[in-house]
Amino acid sequence: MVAATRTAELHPSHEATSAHDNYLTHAHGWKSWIFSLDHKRIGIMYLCAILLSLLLGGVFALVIRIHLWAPEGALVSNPTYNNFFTLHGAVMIFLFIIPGIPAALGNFVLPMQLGAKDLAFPRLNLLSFYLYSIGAVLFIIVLAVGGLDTGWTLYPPYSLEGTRGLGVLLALTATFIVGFSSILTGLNFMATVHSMRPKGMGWFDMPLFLWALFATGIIQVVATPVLGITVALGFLERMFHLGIFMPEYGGDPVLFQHFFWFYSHPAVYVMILPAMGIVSEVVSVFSRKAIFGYRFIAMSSIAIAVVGFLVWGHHMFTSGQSKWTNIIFSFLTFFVAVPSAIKVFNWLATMYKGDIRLKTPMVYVLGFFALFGVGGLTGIFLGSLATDVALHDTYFVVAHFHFVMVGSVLTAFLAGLHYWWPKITGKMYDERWARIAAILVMVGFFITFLPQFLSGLQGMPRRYATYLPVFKPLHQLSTIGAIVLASGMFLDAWVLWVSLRRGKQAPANPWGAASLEWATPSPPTHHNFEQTPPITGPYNYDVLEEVSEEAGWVRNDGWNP
Amino acid sequence: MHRLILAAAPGWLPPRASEGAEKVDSIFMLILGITTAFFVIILVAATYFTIRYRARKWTAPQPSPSHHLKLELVWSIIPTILLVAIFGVSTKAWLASADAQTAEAATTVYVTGQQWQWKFEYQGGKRSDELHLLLNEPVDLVLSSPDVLHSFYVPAFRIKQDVVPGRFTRLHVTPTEAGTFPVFCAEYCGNDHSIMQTQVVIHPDLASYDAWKNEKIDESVPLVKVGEMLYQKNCLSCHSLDGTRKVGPTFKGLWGSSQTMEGGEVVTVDENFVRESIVEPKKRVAQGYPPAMPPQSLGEREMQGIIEYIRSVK
Repeated sequence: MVAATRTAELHPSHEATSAHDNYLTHAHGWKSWIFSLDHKRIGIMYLCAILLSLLLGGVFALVIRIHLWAPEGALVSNPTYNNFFTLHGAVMIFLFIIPGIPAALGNFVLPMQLGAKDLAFPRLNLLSFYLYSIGAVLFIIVLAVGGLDTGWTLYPPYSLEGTRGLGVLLALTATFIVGFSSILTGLNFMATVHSMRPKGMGWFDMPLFLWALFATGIIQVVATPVLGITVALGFLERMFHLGIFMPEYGGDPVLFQHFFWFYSHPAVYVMILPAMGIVSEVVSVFSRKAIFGYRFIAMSSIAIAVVGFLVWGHHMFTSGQSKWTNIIFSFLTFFVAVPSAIKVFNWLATMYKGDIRLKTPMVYVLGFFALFGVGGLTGIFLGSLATDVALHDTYFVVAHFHFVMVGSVLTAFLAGLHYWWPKITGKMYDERWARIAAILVMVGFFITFLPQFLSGLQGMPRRYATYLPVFKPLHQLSTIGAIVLASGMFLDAWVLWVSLRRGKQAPANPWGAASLEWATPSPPTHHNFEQTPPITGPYNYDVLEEVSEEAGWVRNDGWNP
Repeated sequence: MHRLILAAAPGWLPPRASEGAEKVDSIFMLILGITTAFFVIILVAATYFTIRYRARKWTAPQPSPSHHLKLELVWSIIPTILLVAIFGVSTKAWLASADAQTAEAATTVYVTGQQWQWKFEYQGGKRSDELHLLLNEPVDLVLSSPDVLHSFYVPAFRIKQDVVPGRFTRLHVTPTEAGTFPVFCAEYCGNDHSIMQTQVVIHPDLASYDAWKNEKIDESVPLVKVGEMLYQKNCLSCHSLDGTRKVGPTFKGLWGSSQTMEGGEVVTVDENFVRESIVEPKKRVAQGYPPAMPPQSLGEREMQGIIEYIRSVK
């Protein structure tokens, strides 16, 4: 289908549509925000909180990387360094990556992709945000009361020693509370997808982002309670010496590791599944091709969610667990790689014979293929017993999980942010500078983390405040990369800031996407839709025609916002 | 077969000094080969499609099927087969070393990981801060910890074993290369986790090993020299000689000075205080310093040597 240009009179000009009453102008004052039940406003509040967390965790990361410029440590003392890497991990994982895509972007987009007015339980949604905020504030208080130096993994006996102050108790409480926020969000999403699909939208007519959020919801609801139980037990052990995890009271520290990873491994899929959902949307829209192998992608999300529960033991190959436990967990770990491989091939096949536009979201997604490729494939070295025993707890692992959790999830988050930005804010951003920022972020990322595979392979253990001089060149390369990565992020923040201040008005459908969130004005009205738009299929591009670059795309069945 | 793969291994792999290390490296190279092939496929396809199907004013998407069961089954099943194959090869190699764990070696070394150093005790009463092994002689390492989790990691052996308080864990190693290789703690264990490093010394023959085992500090070495040797080995990383503040107080001007302890007590640094600080370092800790020093067991002459040495650092 060739982009057809029509005369402007046939369609209301985009200035006229922008004058409508939208969710941002619907009510005023700070109370209209913090008591809002509107999923879009809650999504915005999440987005702000999550971006602040990203900034905080990012500053910690820079301190770490600059400190490691010199083998004896360039910046801080060893105990201070330990605080920085602990809080970097805790803030990034609990406050940024886990809630990042689902709670901020998912909250905004999910009801609209269903053509619905809100989530199934709007009040529960606001409660989730409050819980998240309370947890985040507690993490900030941890900083104020002397920090935390246990590693984000909180392994006892070190984390529960009797001489510790308030920090660890606060961190356990914060984790518990943030966990509930995650559970309630997952529950809300599952209920919404189950009960609020419009007439004509069966399970297999949903956008794949919804499949991804649904699968994520399963993990959040089933796994997160185990984290809650684990940190609650840790709390009780510290206060009352129950003898669960601490050997001095008759407990077993390895038991904690089992409990912890029973949640924290599936949590990796809480991060990556929504990221994959965004990639599915973006690659299809910017190739103007229906997604290839829809059912395989949808089912592979569910398969990842299910198999992801059965592989936690691979975090403990060197803990002294039994031979057969190691073998079984290794075997299952290999199987979780299959659905991920299927997705990658299907995305590539989607691009085949497409009409590929390299807008910012697509640039991020192309980077995602390379980053997730490295991250996923290096996982095989760690799932394999013989090589893991050598590589475990080295920088090889650090590089691997940063490729998966940052390289893949962060780039997908940024792809999603730039993809839905016109819908969320009603503004366009500068494509050229946004693309430059995207390339800086990804190049910086490769320079930061590729050398870490090498240093890990040569034996550099993780969580070291000081190191043998032989690793110095690789560490310095990493630090340079981190600075490039950070400058890319700041450039992008600038691009988005400028867009907010004086960006061009965004049309309802700037990218020519077929899912329903684009069948409402940008920004959407308070109720999203006056009536549910007719369902034409999430990847059916035949019903869309381009009016012009500024006016975006319209549906040719006459139904337009 | 695996020797052939190893020949292709680049120089950036660390030295190999144990029986299992070659096997581990050959599996590493095998996985590297397979994963690189897949990575190249992904990159080439993404790049080619992006260039070939880049949108222009006059272009439009061309028709192509939106699913193809056979194709999808192919790219589901081929990776599955390869993954199962890698699992098989890797597990077989790992099992060989795991089964060796149950074999009783002639020699046992007790390894203690404690905040923040390694201690080795050999049958016959010898103790050391570095692990001494004999080439081609299998040895059982029995690991334990009095405080928190540690992990005994020797990159040259390609092995790692967590040291878990409250239980013993074991490693069975046969060194295959004489030399000195680094030992790290790989499980985060607190403030000075990153200085919890030592070396494994692999003696080329029994004569060299016995010479080490029977080595006593020569009676003719003056006390201050004994002290200096001990300082170089054990104290250097935390106590400076030039007044620099490290983990612990500097030795410069320490002797005979008055020092304030945590809790406010003021002590004079004399023979008995130095002995107490070595045997029971956590009893009285200098104000403003972490209680980081692990207790040491020294012979009487070594103790005298340290005292003499601290006295000499002006």
